[in-house]
Amino acid sequence: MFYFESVADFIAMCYVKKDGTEMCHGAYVWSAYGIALVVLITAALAPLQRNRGVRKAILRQMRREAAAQSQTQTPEKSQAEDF
Amino acid sequence: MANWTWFHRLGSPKWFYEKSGRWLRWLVPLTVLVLITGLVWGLAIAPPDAKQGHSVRIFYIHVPSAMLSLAAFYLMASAGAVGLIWRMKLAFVAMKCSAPIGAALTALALITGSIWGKPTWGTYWEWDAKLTSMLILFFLYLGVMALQEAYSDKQAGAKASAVLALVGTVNIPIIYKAADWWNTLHQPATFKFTEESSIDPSLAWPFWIMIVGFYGFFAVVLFLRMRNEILYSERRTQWVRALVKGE
Repeated sequence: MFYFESVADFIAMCYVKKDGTEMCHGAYVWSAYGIALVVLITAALAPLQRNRGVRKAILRQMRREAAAQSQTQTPEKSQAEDF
Repeated sequence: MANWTWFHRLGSPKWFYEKSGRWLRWLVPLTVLVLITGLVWGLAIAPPDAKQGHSVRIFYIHVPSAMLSLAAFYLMASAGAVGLIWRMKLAFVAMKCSAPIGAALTALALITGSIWGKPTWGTYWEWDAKLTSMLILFFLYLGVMALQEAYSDKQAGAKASAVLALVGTVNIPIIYKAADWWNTLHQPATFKFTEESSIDPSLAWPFWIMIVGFYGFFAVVLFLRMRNEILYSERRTQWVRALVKGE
């Protein structure tokens, strides 16, 4: 099923053309796949992280509003939003 | 009379938030599975090319990311048009959220193409028509992203960047046809929908799997980003507050 016979072959990715010249493209292939993985994983994790930030900010806002409501005797201060 | 209720419902942020949550439950595992299958197949199972050797494996990430970067631009511009014409809130959200994903995929296509260019053409970069128009696409994405933030009024920013996205679509057919119109370095498409493709079927399988995987990836990240935008913009509503407190 796998094209390569050993792990070393898989890493080196050498290919001998019909005219006998050997081309080893491991460095190109692995760097391209490595960069692709980094880009895809970063793009997928960024919104997850932002989600936590948005939820926290909304909870903070709600707590501030609740605190302001319980202190009805003091004049209401203007609330600056922090997100 | 056509029934347009689905269209109006699609414009409701709450409806989209609930639906997309359900879609993601099967879309995420499916996309991960398809992407891993495609990556392993392209890296370790597919045979090398007789002329290019193993560098042809870069094809399995380069072409899908390039195709998606073009498709994402169309989607972004169409969403912008829907937002401009029907003033649909969710359309501008979709437009805003697809821009950074499109920019990331364009950058990936440019980088992997550059790495592939070295063993194939002997150079990392050439001011070839396809490469240059692809670089312009990257800057267009950045422009759409920057323009949204350039206005203090969010709605004005969304409108301006929608117009830029629509004007920018003129670049998409240019990229697509660049290799046919200008006979420079980049080869024309090997996959054709209308004629026989000039590629071996053993290479075609992992390619199509990767295309499906990249489309899935785009949809997943787009939904995740849109859901964040919705939470933020609807933060004063009851349903968002109940949702945030409930966890």
